[in-house]
Amino acid sequence: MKDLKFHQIVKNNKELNIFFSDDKQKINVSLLSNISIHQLKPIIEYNFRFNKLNVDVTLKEYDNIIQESSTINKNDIVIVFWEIINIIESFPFEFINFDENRKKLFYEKITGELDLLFNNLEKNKLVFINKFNDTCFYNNIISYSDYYAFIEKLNNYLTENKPDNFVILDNNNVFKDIGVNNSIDLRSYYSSKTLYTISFYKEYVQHLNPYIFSISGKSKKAIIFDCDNTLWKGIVGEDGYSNVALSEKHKNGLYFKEIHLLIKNLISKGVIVGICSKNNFQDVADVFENRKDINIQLDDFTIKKINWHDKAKNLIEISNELNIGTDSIVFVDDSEFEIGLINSIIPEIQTVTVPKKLYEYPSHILKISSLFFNVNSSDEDARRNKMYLEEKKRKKVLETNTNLDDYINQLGIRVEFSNKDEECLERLAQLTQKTNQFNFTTKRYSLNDMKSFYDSNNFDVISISVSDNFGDSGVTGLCILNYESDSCEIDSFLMSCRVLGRHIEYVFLNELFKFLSTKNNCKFLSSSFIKSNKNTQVQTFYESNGFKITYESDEFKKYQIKINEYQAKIKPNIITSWKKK
Amino acid sequence: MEEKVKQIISDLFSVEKNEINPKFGPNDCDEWDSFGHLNLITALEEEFDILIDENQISDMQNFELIMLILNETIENKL
Repeated sequence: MKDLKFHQIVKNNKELNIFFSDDKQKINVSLLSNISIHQLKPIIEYNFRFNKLNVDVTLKEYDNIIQESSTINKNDIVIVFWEIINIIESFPFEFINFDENRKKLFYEKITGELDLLFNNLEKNKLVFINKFNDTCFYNNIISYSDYYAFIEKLNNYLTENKPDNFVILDNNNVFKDIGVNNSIDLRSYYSSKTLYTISFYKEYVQHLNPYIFSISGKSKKAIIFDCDNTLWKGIVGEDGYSNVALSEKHKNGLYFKEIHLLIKNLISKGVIVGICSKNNFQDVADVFENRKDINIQLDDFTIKKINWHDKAKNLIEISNELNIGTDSIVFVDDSEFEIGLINSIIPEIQTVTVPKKLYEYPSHILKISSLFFNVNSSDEDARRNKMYLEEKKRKKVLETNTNLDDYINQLGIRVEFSNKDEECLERLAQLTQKTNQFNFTTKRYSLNDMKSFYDSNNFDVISISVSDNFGDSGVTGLCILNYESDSCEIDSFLMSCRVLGRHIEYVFLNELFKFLSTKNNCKFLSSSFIKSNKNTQVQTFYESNGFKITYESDEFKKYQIKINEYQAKIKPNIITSWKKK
Repeated sequence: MEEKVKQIISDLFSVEKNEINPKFGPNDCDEWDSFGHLNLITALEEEFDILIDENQISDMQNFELIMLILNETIENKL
């Protein structure tokens, strides 16, 4: 919402309202105020409608808080903007000329009215009231300290005497986030009593969310983390467990240590914390088992999906196994690709991208943790069954669609092939040295090795560059072909983990056969799989694509296929081209 | 800029952009009441990052006048 302008919010709000036809579940919100806050109405409505809550906001009569509060339906949620600046016209300026007696009179008037307000609204579902605030009257000099003391006294009264259903919000929290000057518009205050800006309202409604979500059964229940560059800095499958950064011992590690401390705190509050990561299970387990400087244990995570399936599938399984709706899950990942996938397939899941500025990461997660807040849990239990049934329906839809394919189609992935590309000679040697997971033979080559392949007529070195609507991943895969009489052997075939899970491996394989079919004297293609402790994800790739196994042991497999007999198993909708020499 | 202003009026007051002729004003749609007018001013100020002179706010009574005052305000800002 922060990116939307006011007129866009107004328009979107009208559009969203069309989706709510059933009035039964409607939440009615009444706004009481002694300043003009009509612009808050569309912003609140949009905020909740966007979160699939059917809501209607009613503006009660301006500057008539007490009387209006007696007319409000008990089922309504009420928000009170009672601004000290407008208790009477020019109140702060009148106040500084008051004698003690007059100050006392005003204190009694306001607290008396507060009592009436408490009385009128104590049966309501939920009432938000803002702390009295002196910020609009900035002259922060000692001679006005009486005014601050007066406000402080009123706030104490408010805190001590409010009924249990009243929630006190502090607008200073909004001011801290966006600044006082962005929050308050004195010009429009004097011309139309509109004290607050659109930016203020946009931020203010975020502070209502945890409470509203909680009473509507929409609080989040589980937070699921990716591993690499999300629970630690680095890629454990590539860098090894001892080199990932997760404490002050490594550069950038402190951010992740703080994430771990936050996770511990969330667990202690009953939030379910899980892992959903494309990794070898043992690689992840190694980090927790071997790192002495880690603050959490693998067992702290209630649910773990550490495999090579697509993450949408894993998150659906997580929601099944935990028996919670996908709309109560928050998912944290560093990859825009994965976040985009989840947003497109399971939009109910709230996604969080690890900020590029890592120093913002801990405070970002801290902010999100308010979404797990629960006012009272019994209300929610009653709704659980309904939520569960809705979820079942949703799952059916997902199962019948091949949504990963749809998603990949939308991404606009482009793969550019190249043979013996001089520009990336060095990069290719580096790829053979660094790539572990999608790597069939794990042969490491130096720059000179790579040069000799380039110079020899018996070798081709096919490389790929991948880009999509999110950006350019660069040179991320390679295949070294070795020709001997009428056959060709795949010496190396590897892809960086940055581009896995997008069906690019099939595109690569399909294109390889197209390329080989143009070589008249080449009839057979052979290949091999050499087991390493990192490459289990590829151990059945060749056979599932029509290669015949010619030799097999625990550690090693050899394959062969007749080139003109290859039939593509998967033909992803991905644009391919060859780089012009 | 005309297009942007038409978009804002269209979004706020639920009217089609092609209905907005130079004389289009508060009498031509229900949602353009006094609150609506303040919303319009807020949205214009937000969109063009300007402050419209208080005395001119009430003069902006149709599309033509809005454009006139907006152009003037933006020129003065530069």
